[in-house]
Amino acid sequence: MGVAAIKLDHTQADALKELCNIGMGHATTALAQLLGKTIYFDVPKVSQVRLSQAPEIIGSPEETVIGIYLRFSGPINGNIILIFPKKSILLLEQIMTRKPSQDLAFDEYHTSLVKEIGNILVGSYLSVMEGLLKMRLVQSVPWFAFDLASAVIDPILIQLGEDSDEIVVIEAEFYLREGREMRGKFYLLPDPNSIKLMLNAVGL
Amino acid sequence: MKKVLRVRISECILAKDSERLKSSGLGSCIGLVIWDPQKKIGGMAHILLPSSSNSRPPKRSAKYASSAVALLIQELKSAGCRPRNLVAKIAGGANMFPQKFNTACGELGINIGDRNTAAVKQELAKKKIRLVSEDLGGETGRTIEFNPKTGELCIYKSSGEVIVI
Repeated sequence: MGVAAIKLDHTQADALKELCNIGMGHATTALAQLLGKTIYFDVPKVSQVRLSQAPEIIGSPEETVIGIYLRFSGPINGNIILIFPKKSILLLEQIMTRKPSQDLAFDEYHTSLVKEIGNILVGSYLSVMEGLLKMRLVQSVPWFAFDLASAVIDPILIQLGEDSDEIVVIEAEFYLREGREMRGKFYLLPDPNSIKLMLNAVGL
Repeated sequence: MKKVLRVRISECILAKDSERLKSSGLGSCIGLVIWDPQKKIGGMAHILLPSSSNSRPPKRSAKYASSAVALLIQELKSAGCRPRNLVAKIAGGANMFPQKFNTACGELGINIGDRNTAAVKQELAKKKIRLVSEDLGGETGRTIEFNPKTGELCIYKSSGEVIVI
């Protein structure tokens, strides 16, 4: 297996950014409908980094966060991880249940609520990808973790690290219009050998 | 003044005197410390995977348990340590997503933390390095800091618990 199978050029990085842009448009619309609030998102970023640098890209390594992880498979395979500060999840819950929420430990109820949000965001994101890339993708169930940011992404880096020392990170931050108090980050980390296939599918 | 050296994924670093070695946010990864109690020199490796599927694994990388143990021992030897004086401490190997894994496409490394742990232990036994203490498994991330002067490995768990092994 080749290490650093592909070095992204400008056009290729832009294409991945645009795919993410369209995906995020649909994902945030779905979340907005669920919450009855406007959700914005920042211009996506694409970076190619060494495995050892990944924990710094995905939030500060020692911050405790909520992570939802899903894997997708099909002609291309990859990982999606959503990272939320704890406060954002409490706010999300407040909006959905219309009740003030306390600072609770994450019990069954909270984790399933968060997982469902993950399902909705990732489901709509991937369904757009399917259309754009003209392929069928299957998503896994969401997995939940509440821990240090770098510990949460460990299992994903382990998967990606089998084949490569470098990874491509496609990311975008989304947030509630009012003051970014509710915010989350959407990361797409394709398997190293799927990046070429993604680019091929859009004619690059 | 203590100087903290950060050990990132697949890195391996030595320290002595007032230096400290630190790995942040170990999930399923393993933090391996090998220490010479006489010379008060220690090294830390941040291990990602049990072994390489590649036939030509990269040298000088602590990414794999198989190469990390040998690399640490070699670096300590270069620093004047005797292999038979060396002792090891390990932490990490948690299961970050303990929920059920059997899904349509859930081939996510089942208990990769356990596999990493087993690989490191096996490698230490092979090199005859005595494992003196460990804090492994569970479902919480860990940040670890090692003091080569005292040999103390301080473990900060994400649950708030702090232990010294």
